Amino acid sequence: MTELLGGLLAVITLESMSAMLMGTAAGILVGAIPGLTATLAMALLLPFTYAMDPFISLGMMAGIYNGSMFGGAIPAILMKIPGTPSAVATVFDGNPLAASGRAKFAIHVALCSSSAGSVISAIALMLLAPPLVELALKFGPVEYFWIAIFGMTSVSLLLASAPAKGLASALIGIAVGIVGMDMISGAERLVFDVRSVAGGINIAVLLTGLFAIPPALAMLDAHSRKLGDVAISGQGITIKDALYLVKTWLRSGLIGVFVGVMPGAGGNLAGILSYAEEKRAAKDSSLFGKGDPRGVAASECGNNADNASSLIPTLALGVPGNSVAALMMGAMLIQGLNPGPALFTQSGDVVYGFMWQMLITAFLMLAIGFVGTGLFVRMLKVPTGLLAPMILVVCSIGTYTASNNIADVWIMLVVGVCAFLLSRSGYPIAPIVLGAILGPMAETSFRQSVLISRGDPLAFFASPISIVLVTLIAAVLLFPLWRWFRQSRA
Amino acid sequence: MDVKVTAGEKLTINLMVAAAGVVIVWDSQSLQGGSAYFPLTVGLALIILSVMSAIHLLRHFIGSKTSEASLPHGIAGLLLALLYLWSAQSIGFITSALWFLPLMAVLGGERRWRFIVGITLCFALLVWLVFGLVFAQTMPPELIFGEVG
Repeated sequence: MTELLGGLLAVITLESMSAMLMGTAAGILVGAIPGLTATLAMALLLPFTYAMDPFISLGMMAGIYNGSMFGGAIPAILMKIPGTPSAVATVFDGNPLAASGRAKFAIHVALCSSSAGSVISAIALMLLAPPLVELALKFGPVEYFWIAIFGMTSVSLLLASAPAKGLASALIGIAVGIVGMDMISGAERLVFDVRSVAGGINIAVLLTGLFAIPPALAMLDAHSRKLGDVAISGQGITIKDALYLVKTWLRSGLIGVFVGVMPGAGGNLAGILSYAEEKRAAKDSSLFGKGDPRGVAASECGNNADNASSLIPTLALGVPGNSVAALMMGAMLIQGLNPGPALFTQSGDVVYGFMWQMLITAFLMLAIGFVGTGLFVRMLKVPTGLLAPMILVVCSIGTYTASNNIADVWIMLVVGVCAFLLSRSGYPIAPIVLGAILGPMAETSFRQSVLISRGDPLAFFASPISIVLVTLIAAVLLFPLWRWFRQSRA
Repeated sequence: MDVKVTAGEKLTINLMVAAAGVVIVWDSQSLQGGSAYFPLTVGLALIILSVMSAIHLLRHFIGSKTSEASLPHGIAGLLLALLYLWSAQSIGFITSALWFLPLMAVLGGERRWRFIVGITLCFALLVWLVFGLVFAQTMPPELIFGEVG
């Protein structure tokens, strides 16, 4: 409790509040432009965070994450195009509401619901992360090895349409993580006499290349999109309307939190599941799909409730469960903060402060959303053909200024080229990042375990936690086989 | 907008991933003891998984859709980005943006010339103000904007 209050005091400063405000506004703007996502915005910001105070960089990141999830609802409601993948289910009822002249009401419902989801999620983060840290303190290298393997396999298999490609993506990531000097033997691996990578590939360079370059290139094909009329019409939300949605928020918030904790699942799954559950639970579901505000509320609350909760395993165990969590982890690593149990004791003010930032940005989003809706709607008219080169220029400058080394910018571009080609062929990008972060962790833990156990393989199955994790890994690996078996029988 | 990816392109990428696996295995041969195990395992697994994907692709021979850029647009964009980076080393990031933005905008389907020129100049000025003056980031010398940072 003392740490939690300490964290709150640490983030109530002018600098931190300004950073959260800027991040939230930027997040809504980014989310409102179809094709731009939270990951892209965070990847763009990442190289610039080297010179920032942790409370400022993490505050901006928190704002972008929460804000972009709401921003995605704006084009979903007005143009039937989800601004982010998480807003898919918002289209179902949001667009019919806009078509019937109630666009402003639909956007306000999305805004209040996003805010409610973010609040529920931030509270879940504050409540669930500390007990998980207590559990994590009992972990040794063996448990960490299995956790890393579980993180990689679950995300790889859940995100890819083809399991082999998902696993291959994770292996590519592990290979990227191996590049550089082996910290135990001192041997250089996968360096090939390229001196700029002898120290390993910088995490900010990798994340920027993976998450900013392919979407920027995809925008070059977006010019054919018909923007149409994007005016906001009708009355806004009333307190009575908001009270009517409280039950929906609680239900969808819990679903979003649960989905967020699961590795590999994301905001889009949380939004769709929340929408489906709301429709199932409704006494009269005849208006769903025709402009029922509960549909918009469920989707938006669900996808925002996934945000902070997805960071629970990242903060407590140092194991990111999705690409945004990996970017958050990257932002912390840049600041010299290693997510995991030790972080709670060594830098408690930063961790708990960050939790508060996730909560405060939920309220900032509400205020900015009500004031600036008109401006965000205008962002829909920004030609994406011009945004693409702007992103590439900002990426290049950010990557260069992070290390004052032009070689890093070339590496970022090469990573971007590879990501572009791989994702076109069905290789998911998120497992590459997880592989690069968790691969070295798995290797170090494995080698430490072998040393401690003097090569006894049974040591990997000695503790109950290890057995649980191995069972989970086996279940995740067998799931695609089971699905294939069911499909072949059907 | 989804664009089509051919089976041939997918197969080529699969083979490139397999080749990366071969390179990782080859590199691990020069290592000793504990340093070699992980890369060797990763390389071998990568080869096996890529070959499995390639066989599946050859048997079913299917193309697919992706939300990534079309190959010609993507390659053209990447080539321009490479040229941008190459010229940024000599004339600076902001000066190079003055030719890069208009060309990319045209590639992205924008045809309003006055609009392109206006946005390009505003963007270059904004970047110079933010990164050069406000944040004082050190960057390669600029042909037009001089020493930045």
